[in-house]
Amino acid sequence: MGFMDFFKRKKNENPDPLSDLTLPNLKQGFFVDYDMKTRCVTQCNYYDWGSDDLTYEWQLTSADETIYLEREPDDEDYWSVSRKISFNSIDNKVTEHILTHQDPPSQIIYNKTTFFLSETGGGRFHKDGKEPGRELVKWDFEDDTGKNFLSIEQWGEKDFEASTGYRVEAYQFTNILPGNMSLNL
Amino acid sequence: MSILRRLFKLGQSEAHNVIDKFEDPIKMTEQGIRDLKNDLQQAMTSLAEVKGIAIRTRKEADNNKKNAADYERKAMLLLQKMQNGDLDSQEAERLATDALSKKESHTAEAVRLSQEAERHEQMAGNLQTNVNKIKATVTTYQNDLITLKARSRTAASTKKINKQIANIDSSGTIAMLEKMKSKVEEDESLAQAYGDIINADKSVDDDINAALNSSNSLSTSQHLMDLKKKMGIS
Repeated sequence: MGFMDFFKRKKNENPDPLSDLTLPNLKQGFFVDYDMKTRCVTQCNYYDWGSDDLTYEWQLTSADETIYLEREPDDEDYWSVSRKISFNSIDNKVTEHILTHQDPPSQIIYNKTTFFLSETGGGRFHKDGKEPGRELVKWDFEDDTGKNFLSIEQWGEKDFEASTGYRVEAYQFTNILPGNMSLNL
Repeated sequence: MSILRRLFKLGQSEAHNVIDKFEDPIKMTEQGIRDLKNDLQQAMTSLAEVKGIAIRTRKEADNNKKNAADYERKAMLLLQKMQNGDLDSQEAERLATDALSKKESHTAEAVRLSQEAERHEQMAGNLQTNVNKIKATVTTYQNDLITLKARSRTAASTKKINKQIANIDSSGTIAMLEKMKSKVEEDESLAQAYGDIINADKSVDDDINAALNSSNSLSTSQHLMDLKKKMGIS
């Protein structure tokens, strides 16, 4: 350490409790309240769809469930919450359709709701932001209200995952607290 | 009051005056807010710890409940096996009793952990209320400071402008105009005075010439009268 280093101000690593504790700034170990439950941020991931098109995802764990909060930056931020579902709980013709046509059918019925194919894309999933990421193909389906969605992700030839979710607003997430992953869960 | 005491008081008041000059209220307030934010940060970290413990305890309680249910299911399976004749009744009952005993201990642990989780959750709720209060207070102070800083800047600018305007009135243009006015008046008086002196300095020759000029003008008048007579104009 040089003499002048002594006078240099130490970089403040603590977030400002008033301005930095926002939803897009959630980090691993942070806490946030949503839907009457306190949830701990256990993963901070992102999807890279190419051409600087990124989707951010936070895994939020409470005592009894795990949900995924997603931020899709566009002209404005679109927020959604999803929960993983068993891929087998979807119509089992879907797997067959994907394996035959490389794509799922344009409509899927799940829990008596019809979902329509709205978006499809391939990208890389970066768990906790780590490189190089894992390749995936994703199909998004929406119901007729556009508020609820169902997603299918293909990770390998026969490795599928599914989730359902709905749009949310940032204000629904409150009491963001900075935390330390080593202390939690 | 003794002289020494008065001198001490004088020194004290001067020292306060000097410190007052050095003390910037905005910087002092900013430091105060920084200190409050540090306190808030620490309170939030403590709250995060309590919330973490609450979630972990609740999770452990749920796991114990699941384990209890699992042991009960195992005990039932053992009894079913005994019923079907697949397992010796004595052995089945011994194992089922053990399983039920484990079920009981897990149930008791689940109850204890649930109560503990409830206490932690309650504590987290109270702490959250306090943290929100501190947060609201610091936010209010910060907003007040922003407003006061803006007001202070406006006041400083207004003071500067008004001071400039005041300076122009007292010692600027008006004073120069007044000075110029008196100079002009002085010059005019001087010119008038010189004029008077010129009139006063007329020579005898000037008077004679003037008299002669007036006789010339009289003869001219006479000529005019003659002409009028000739023409028959009265």
